[in-house]
Amino acid sequence: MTKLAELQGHIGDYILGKDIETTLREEVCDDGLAAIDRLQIHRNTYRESLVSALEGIYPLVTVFVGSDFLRQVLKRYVLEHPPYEPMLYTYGSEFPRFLAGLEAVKPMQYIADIAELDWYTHELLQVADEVQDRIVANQYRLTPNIRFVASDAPLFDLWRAAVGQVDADEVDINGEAQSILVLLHEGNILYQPVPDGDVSKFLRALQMGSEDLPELDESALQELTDRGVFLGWAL
Amino acid sequence: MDQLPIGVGLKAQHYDNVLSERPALSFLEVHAENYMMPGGAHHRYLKDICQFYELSIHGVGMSLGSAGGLDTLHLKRFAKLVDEYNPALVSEHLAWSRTEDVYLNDLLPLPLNSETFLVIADNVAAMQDAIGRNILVENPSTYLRFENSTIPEQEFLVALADKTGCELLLDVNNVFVSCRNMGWDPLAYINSMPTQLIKEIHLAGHSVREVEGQEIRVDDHGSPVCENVWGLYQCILERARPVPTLIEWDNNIPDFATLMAEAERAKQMMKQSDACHD
Repeated sequence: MTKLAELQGHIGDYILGKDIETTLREEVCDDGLAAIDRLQIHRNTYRESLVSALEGIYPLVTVFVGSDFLRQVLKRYVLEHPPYEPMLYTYGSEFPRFLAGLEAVKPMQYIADIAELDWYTHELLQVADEVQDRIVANQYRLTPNIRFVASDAPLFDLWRAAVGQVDADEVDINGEAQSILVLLHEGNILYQPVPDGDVSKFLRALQMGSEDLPELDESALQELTDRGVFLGWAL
Repeated sequence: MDQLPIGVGLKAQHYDNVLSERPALSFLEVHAENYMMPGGAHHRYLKDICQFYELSIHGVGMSLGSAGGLDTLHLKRFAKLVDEYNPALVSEHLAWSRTEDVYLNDLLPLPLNSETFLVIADNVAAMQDAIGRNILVENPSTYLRFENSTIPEQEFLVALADKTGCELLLDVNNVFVSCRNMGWDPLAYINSMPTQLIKEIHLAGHSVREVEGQEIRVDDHGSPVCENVWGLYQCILERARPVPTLIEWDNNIPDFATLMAEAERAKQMMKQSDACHD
């Protein structure tokens, strides 16, 4: 390994939360301020810039948990899940699962569902405008401009409360489960409720890429087809 | 670009302003990595805007200083973007931002010595080959110095241009920030740069923080250009013909009128200076 590669490895490790290597401390001039204080500027830039970027992707989560809590959680996330690519619009997809695993969130798993809704909204705004409409025989596939968020909570009602369509007091958190179809349509994001049941199970399996899809009656399949859910499919 | 080439960094918050007001700007600059997605609203707006303005594509994630070389996938993405938009200017930084498998989202410092020079010269050449044109390389903001740095930054940049054919993007705010943080003389830095190599200038704001009782300037692009930086810009204008000049404002993004007021100030300075050269 070259000296430069070794130096960059040490700086990367420090930025991602490891203790400063002795060799790195010796390689950075003090110049009136300790090496660690100078390196700390870069560690702060990494954390603050990524936390701010992700905070912008998860506005609905902010509504439910508040900015202070979200920023604290994101500070952990950016250290445990650093980006691999410089296109930051691709960064943060694992956050809903990370959130679901936190002790504080376990009693409120709908927060992770809301995070998934935020992520899919963000993700859909980047997809290609022209969908290649390729029909695959006897195979259902979701179109690229649709995502499905499965939930055991009344997710659609929670979403409506978060965006101000209904008063939060009107939402029964123990109410019937609702999932949401998220659609990109002519540049706008649309949210459609999917009640708990066969359609929800079918869409959940379809999004997970399962080859063994649950049975769904013809009228339900027709309705999904009419909503443009399937790629290149016509009954 | 027209005789007074003034531009601003294009932000999504200002897409509608640019299209509806058609401000008197010569060019707009975007960060390459914000436009590498396959489609969507950002591309639609940018294509509309490019009907009226020239474009500068400014990379922030190529990591020209990476010891392990450039990411070939990222090079392809960058080349595709350049092919798609055919910008007037393409630029990157004298910095690194990526280890083997992690992107560190910062423009990180390099020890300026012969080993680094060979690495970055190879990487600049690889980028230029991939996109089929020469690039501008920007001087970074500096917060620390390495014991094994042996080449002054200005000399390093000029030698890099000589070796690779690249030219320079002089970020005047970065010069000021680095010089104040490192105890260098900003005017001497500016005066030592050969004006014929400078093909773009960046102006931006920075913040001032206190760390362990010492003042540190942080290049955060979140405020107006400070008076000291305007003063340095004036010094450059006195030495050189107009160079494309960009107002960068990436954080705490202001309303469009505030951003345009900064651009107007740069334009007036350039106009007066150009008249003096005639």
